[in-house]
Amino acid sequence: MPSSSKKIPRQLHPSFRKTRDQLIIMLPVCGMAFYLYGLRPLIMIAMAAVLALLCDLMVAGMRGRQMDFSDLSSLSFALIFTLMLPASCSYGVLIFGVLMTVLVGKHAFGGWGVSPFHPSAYGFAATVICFSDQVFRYPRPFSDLPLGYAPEVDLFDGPAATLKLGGRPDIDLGSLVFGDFNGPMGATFCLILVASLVFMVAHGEITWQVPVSFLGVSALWAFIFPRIQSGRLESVAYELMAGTMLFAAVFIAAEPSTSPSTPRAKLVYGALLGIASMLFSHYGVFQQGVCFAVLLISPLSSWLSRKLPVRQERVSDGGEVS
Amino acid sequence: MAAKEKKYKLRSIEDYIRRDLVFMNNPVLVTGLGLAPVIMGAVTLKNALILSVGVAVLCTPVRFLGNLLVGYLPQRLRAMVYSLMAAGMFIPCLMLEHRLFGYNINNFVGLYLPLLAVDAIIISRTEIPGRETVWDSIRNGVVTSLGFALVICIVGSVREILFYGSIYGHELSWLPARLPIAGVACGGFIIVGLLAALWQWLISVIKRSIYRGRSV
Repeated sequence: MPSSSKKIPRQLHPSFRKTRDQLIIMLPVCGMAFYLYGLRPLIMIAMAAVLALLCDLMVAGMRGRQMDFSDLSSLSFALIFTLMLPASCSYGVLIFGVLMTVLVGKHAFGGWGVSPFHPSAYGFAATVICFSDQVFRYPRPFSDLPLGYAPEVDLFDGPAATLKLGGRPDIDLGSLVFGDFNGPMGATFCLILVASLVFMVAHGEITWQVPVSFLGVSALWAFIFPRIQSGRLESVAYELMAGTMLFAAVFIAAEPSTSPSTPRAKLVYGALLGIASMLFSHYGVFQQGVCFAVLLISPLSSWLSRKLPVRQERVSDGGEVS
Repeated sequence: MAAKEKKYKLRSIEDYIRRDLVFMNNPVLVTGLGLAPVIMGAVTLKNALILSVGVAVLCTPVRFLGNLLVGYLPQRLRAMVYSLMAAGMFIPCLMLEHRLFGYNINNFVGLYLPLLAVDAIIISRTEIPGRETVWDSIRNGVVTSLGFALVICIVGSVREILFYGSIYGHELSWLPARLPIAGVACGGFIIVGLLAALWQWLISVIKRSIYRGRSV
């Protein structure tokens, strides 16, 4: 007789492996946020994580299903959104943004793999529209941030605001690379972001086409149409590293569930995203436009995949593949 | 006899569900008509009332006259003729709106009041190929206007409370915070979407209770 105590192995959510690895890769970024701004970023991250899980529980209950704890995508989206905020952001704004990210950006559109755009980009865009004064004002790194609801500290504009006004940010290259300037708590330490990108590509979490074409086209645009007069290469450096462009290239643009599936489509998608980001940054209302660009271009990804399919290998009469 | 009575009663309940255009088959939240004025125009309760009056004045006469012309118009011309009729009706509609809400209504609803003349909620009658009775055409026009007015007033009130912290211009000082996204189009889409989900849930609850009562 067969044993009745034999357990049937539980099927993990299709996104489990990818989001688990993404969360592990975000640990150094969270660590740098803690290094630069103290305990407050960790509290914000923990709050976002708990809220994301509660939203998943609530939606599972509303749908009459059991909560799938192997679906870590809400956690990942909430974390990505939180890392784009300033460390001085109030908890109310954080809660609003996480709710928009998870409930509206992810679940209202059907869940992971179905949403036409990255939920974190949606949550960030909604938060920017509602609370732009809080989202685009940053504390100085290494300042002692209180842990209260809305800390009363001196806030400053980021370098993206200076670029928008046509000025040159007063930040040297070293500070730009190591994150020693006013900016989002997870998007300033460019060295770690580049290392994360290289690791994710090498590990197969994402492919190289979207981030490379996105950053390449953005750099080309910044080179051809610089907003500052002190040099084209400086313009490229500031445009790519001063805001959330690099962060978006690593964690948002190349998201496999929202980007195209074929290599050629990915290249075109990244290029379109780069152009749209620069247009929004240059001519849009807000100083950073990459999330709005993602919302605009992401719905084209399935169409691009259909129009630019994988090239079929042609076999000649002699049996040689070309 | 009891079975016949029961059969008649069941058919009338289903008829009621099918013919109810205010709640069960609301033109905005169930059929998806008239979304543009609701999302873009209804930022305050006053805007919502202005647009409700516009739909009420345009919908029923256009539906009634359109029904009379059904046999004489080819299908492809109906939308154009209905829009022309609505555009003609718009002049007395505007005069009534000025009487009720003042002469500066353009500052509130802008383009969305004249756009009602070509909105789907006014010319949706073109989708129905056959003729309906005179009483049905008038009735359907009136209840469609009621259904639209109900939804747009709810949406306008909610958005005004969230964005301005007031209701019909009267400030609600006890509100703890405001939501800036409620005053822009994307917030309108979200609020209408949430309302539609809530509406569908209420409809399913009512239908379940009706059919549970039927099976007992």
